[in-house]
Amino acid sequence: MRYKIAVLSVIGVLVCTAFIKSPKVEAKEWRLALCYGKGATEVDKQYRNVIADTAANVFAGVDKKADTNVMIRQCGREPDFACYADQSAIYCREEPLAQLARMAAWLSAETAFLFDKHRGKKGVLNEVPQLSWVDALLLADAEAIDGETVFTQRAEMIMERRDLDADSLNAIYSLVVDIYSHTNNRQAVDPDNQVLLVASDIYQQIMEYAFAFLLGHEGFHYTKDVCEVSRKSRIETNGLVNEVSKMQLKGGYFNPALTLDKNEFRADICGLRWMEKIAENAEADMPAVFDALSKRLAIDLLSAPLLAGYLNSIAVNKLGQAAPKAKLVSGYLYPQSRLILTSAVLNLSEAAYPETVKICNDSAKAMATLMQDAYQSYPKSSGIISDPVLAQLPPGVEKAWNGAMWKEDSFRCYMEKK
Amino acid sequence: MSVYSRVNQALKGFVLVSCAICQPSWADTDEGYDLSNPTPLIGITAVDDVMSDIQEPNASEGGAMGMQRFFTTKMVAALNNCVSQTQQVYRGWYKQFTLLPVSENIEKFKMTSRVWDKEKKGLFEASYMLDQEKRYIRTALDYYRITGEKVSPAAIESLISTYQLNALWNKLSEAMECDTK
Repeated sequence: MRYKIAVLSVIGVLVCTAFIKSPKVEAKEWRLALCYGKGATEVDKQYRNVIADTAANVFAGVDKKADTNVMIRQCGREPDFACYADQSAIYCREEPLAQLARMAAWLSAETAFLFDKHRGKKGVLNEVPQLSWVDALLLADAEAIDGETVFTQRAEMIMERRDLDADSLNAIYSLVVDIYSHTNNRQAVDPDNQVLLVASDIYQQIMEYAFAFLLGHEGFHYTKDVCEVSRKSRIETNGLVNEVSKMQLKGGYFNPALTLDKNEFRADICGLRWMEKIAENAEADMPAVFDALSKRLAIDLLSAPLLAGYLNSIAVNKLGQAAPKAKLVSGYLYPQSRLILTSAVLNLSEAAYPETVKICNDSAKAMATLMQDAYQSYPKSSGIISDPVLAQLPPGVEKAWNGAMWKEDSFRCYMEKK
Repeated sequence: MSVYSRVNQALKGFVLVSCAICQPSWADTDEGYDLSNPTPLIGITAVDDVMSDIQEPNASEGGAMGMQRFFTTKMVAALNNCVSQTQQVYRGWYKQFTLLPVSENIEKFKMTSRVWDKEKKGLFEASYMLDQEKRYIRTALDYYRITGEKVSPAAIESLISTYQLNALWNKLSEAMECDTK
């Protein structure tokens, strides 16, 4: 198990505009400004340490000389998106990052129990988690709502839908609270508490993957449209990036009315390079099964901000609560494309168990639905999903699209028998 | 760095095409009007390569606060000459808001046209060009106040809604991806 020292020169609640007014950035200084909106709850404000530590770890992971400065203040004007950046700083709203942190805790807690059940052996990679990314999103969202009514309602709905008993959900919740307690207060974990140790490590790892994409994207804008990681990622050299962009241009799979801005696309490519770099750092540190599991869970975690966006209310599509309605934003890649690319970065970085590091289970279900919705709503769609894109989905999805029956197993990712 | 010179540079030496409705004073000379201070309302540059160095000059204006979309470097599958399709979009927009034309200059790969705003307090200038080396296409809409004042961001927001620039943006974006067949 590892321990990282966050390179953090300033953290705290500062009502300060000094660096915002000072556009000149010293070399290797990364500035993250968090602001909370009028609707931010006290719950949302409890994740400042973990947000700052994760950001510092990511900056240090891609830039060894990183000097990270984090400041927190009330939003003067709330940005439309979770984050934006200019050359003075990266600006993020605190609430969506806090929600991401809570969602990561739910996913990590359940996975830690599965990891423990399999004693860290590779069989855990064939497990289908009972809590999906949508469940984690619903619970993480409910935690920030005053009172217990919404949380209880959602917990009961999830238990019924997932055939999960109250004791199991309570055990997961208890571990979630332990993760918060240790990470938000920067407390070391008792080395005898194996489940919490695993959960905390998974939590840290998947948060870093998600933040790497987010901060890498914004970091591109912050550093005057230059990517800190200059080496091309595997998805650039193998042509997947081009393949995915073609899907959104005229003659492609998606409706090109959702325009693709060159700089936003390049910012995404940069975020993906950051993710690849973080994955390389992790691979050197972690046991193979843990590494593969964390990567797959990171794909589930990223499903929420990428597919659903940071919503104030969770809309549902035809699958009911299985997949919130996708949020489309002009100028950006389609959410489906962004998830395909993030999955591909982690899949291609995975040496031991690549067949299990994909968009699997409920994330695959949501992707299959969203791809079909996009096709049905755009009569001029080419209808073509190329093999490298299909490779990011379980084999059962391709079979079903080619005429086989849809089954629950269609969405599972299995380890290949060797 | 922008690959474009500012629009006011392009305006020097601009030949006004005579038309029936043109204001005589306007057609004769620019004297009395400050044309050196345009306010960009829309700027769409299209490229077909994500690694292209070509950049819409105003792409960073407004960040993600709602204005960004009006100034964009968009990706297209192919760079075709869409001067007539773009011109049609602008003409439709002029007609929709009964904007009186001042001048129009159309060539094979570029066009520029000017119209009065509804209150004749300023004029819009629409332009289109396909780079001769086919590295990019650009269309832009600028606004000049006849007093020479720069239009404030608040006024831009009112222009956006009054003249339905959102819808215009969408039509221009589509027109820039015309088929040549």
